[in-house]
Amino acid sequence: MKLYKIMFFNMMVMGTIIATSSYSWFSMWMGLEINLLSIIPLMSTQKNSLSSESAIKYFVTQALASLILLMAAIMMMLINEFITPLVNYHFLMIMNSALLTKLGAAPFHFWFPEVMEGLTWLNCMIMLTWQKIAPMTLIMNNSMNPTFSTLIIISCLLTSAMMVFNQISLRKILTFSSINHIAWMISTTMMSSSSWLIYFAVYCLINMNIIMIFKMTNTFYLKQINNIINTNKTIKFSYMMNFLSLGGLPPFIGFLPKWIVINWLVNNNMYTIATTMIILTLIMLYVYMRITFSSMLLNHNEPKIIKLKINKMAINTINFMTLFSLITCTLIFNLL
Amino acid sequence: MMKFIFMMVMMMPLSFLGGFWFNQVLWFLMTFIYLLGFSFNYLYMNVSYEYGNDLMSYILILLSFWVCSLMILASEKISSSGSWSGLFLFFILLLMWSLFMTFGSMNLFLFYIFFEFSLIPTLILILGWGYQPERLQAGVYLLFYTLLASLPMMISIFFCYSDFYSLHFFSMGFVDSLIIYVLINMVFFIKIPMFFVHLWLPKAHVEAPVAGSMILAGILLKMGGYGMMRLMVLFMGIGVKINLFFVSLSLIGGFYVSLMCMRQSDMKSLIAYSSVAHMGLVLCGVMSMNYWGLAGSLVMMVAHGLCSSGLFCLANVSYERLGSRSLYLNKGLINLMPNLSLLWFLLISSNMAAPPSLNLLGEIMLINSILGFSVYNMGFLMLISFFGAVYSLFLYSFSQHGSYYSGFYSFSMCGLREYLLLMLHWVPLNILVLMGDYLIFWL
Repeated sequence: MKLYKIMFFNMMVMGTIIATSSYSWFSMWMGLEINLLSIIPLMSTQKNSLSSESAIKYFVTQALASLILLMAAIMMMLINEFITPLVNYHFLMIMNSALLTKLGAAPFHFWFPEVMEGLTWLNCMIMLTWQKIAPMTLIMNNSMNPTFSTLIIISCLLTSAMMVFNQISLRKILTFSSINHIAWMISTTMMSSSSWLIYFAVYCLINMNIIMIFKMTNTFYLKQINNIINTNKTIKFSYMMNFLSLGGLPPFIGFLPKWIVINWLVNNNMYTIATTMIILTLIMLYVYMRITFSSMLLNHNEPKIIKLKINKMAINTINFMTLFSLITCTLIFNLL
Repeated sequence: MMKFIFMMVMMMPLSFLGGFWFNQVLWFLMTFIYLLGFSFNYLYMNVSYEYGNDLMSYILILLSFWVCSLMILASEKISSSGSWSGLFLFFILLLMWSLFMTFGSMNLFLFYIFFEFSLIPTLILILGWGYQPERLQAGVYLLFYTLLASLPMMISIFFCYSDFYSLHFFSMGFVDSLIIYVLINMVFFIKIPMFFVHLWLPKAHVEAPVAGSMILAGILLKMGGYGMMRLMVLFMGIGVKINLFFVSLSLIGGFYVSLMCMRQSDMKSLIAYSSVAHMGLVLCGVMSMNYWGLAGSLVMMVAHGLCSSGLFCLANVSYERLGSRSLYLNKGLINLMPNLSLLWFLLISSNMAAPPSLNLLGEIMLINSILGFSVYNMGFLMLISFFGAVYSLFLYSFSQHGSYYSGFYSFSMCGLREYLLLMLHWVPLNILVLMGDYLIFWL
């Protein structure tokens, strides 16, 4: 670990905190820029040239989005003297589009898989989890046009479901799965920020578990799953169940946020969008199943000679505690 | 109830450490302890934390315990071939736990969650211990058929909640919306399975190991029937208008499926199709919404759970010896295993509702209720009963009579474990008739 990486990591965190906790759009923009400028050095590595390519791609798109964001804020100020969420639907749409670009939501997602393809797993983890916080909270400040947000949600779901087929790169699959989850998160931003928080927290937990497994086993492509993950039963099961959890099947924690979101949607009489989201997410679940098939079949030789060092007690404990925390979560609500 | 939940939870490490047959003994112990808790009335007992058993839940949980114990008894191959028997026991425990919660919950949402939960252990049983590579396809069929219907059901459950402000089975009122009727019931139709949405069932049965087939035919199909019996009270208004369509569909479907049974060459597939026909009758009984129909459905579900599970065991006994389930190789078995032939006869005669069996009681009650629903159902009921006998006899005579296949390698005769396994299916099936009143007084 190089010293400058620690510094830039802290600056990246600071940028997000500035963006999420500020009052004015200008300082929000500033926070986003600090966040962007400090993640670029984090991405770079000396080992190959892919990372610098993705760093440049990330920089260009994010800078573009920041500029559009700034432009939208300034134009709203010029016309109305203040930023009001109620009047300027067109400017708000521009602003939201800029934020959605930063997020990687569907019609603005083209940079996302390309950037992810060149990163290490830990950088992928930052991109999939931490980098969503600032744009998401800023989107929640705006009142999004319902038609617009529905459009975004459906296009996110459709794009991720279409694109994820036939992918063999696990980083791309995780990217499209993240686009799919962005759709759910955007639907929560229409209603309540606390359900967004729960959704996002659970999504981060599951994603971190999955990425830690991939990082430990140095797995980047679908074919490599047989090499290490399938040779160890504990790792195999935590890998498999984390994906089922990500797909939102009931016994696992991934069901909790979906449950909450659907409950909210139904309470607000949004049946159509809830049904659409559920049905389209099933396609995503099929893809999760597809990449876990080789583990589910259980038939695999487990080498006795080469002892794997990856079977760490802490990782397994965290995995299984996270996976089966649906019961604890619901019990805690009872106790409160 | 907590003692059984705790026992199951505490058995989870034991399934890895304790050894196969020790676990087997514990399973039977648990079954008999549960059996001692029978309360001899139809009221809810052991109510706490939204869980409780009335007579219907009790009987189905008892059936689940019984079938799960027998599943372990049937899966001796898994223990002797060393294919992760600990993991196998663990998933059976998980499955049993979810079934316990499903049948025991008094809340629709809890019921729904555990209903979904039971999918994953089943899926892993099929994918992990199945035989052919096609088990992947079967697993995907199983999972996505159910999920496609059950996730919209979740939306309608929340809709019901916003209507009634409670999901407790007792405090729900009436729903008069066709969409909600279809959304809630469709998942049960798929699970039971109704004709048209039954395609996952033969596939899953053919690919599953014997334990998977037993639990599928024995319990998981009954979850669909159980859910409909619990929730039909919601749809008394709308049900009067449109139940007719589903009754007609499953009667005609039952007839078609019986015809399909006679063209099967795979024994497991034949038994699977026959269970589609039988569960179609159960569906009709629930849909007829009269007392005989509901009571008869429960009787039929218990009978079919024991009977088809036993038939799957028999098919597996032949499969383990002959290495094939094809009826063209499994012929003339009476020459080779005459003792087993008696058990084939007993279980198959129960399958066609011959007198001392519980199937007969169930079929009589269901025929009464379906005829009470409409006299015009008589034709297809006759056809279903007749062809039920035909395909059962077809299975018996094809597998037992005739000359045996001369290409057999040597194999051992039937062991004591297998006789025990089959008798433990057949004896309750025919003894329970004497206790038939407790099966029909649950309402």
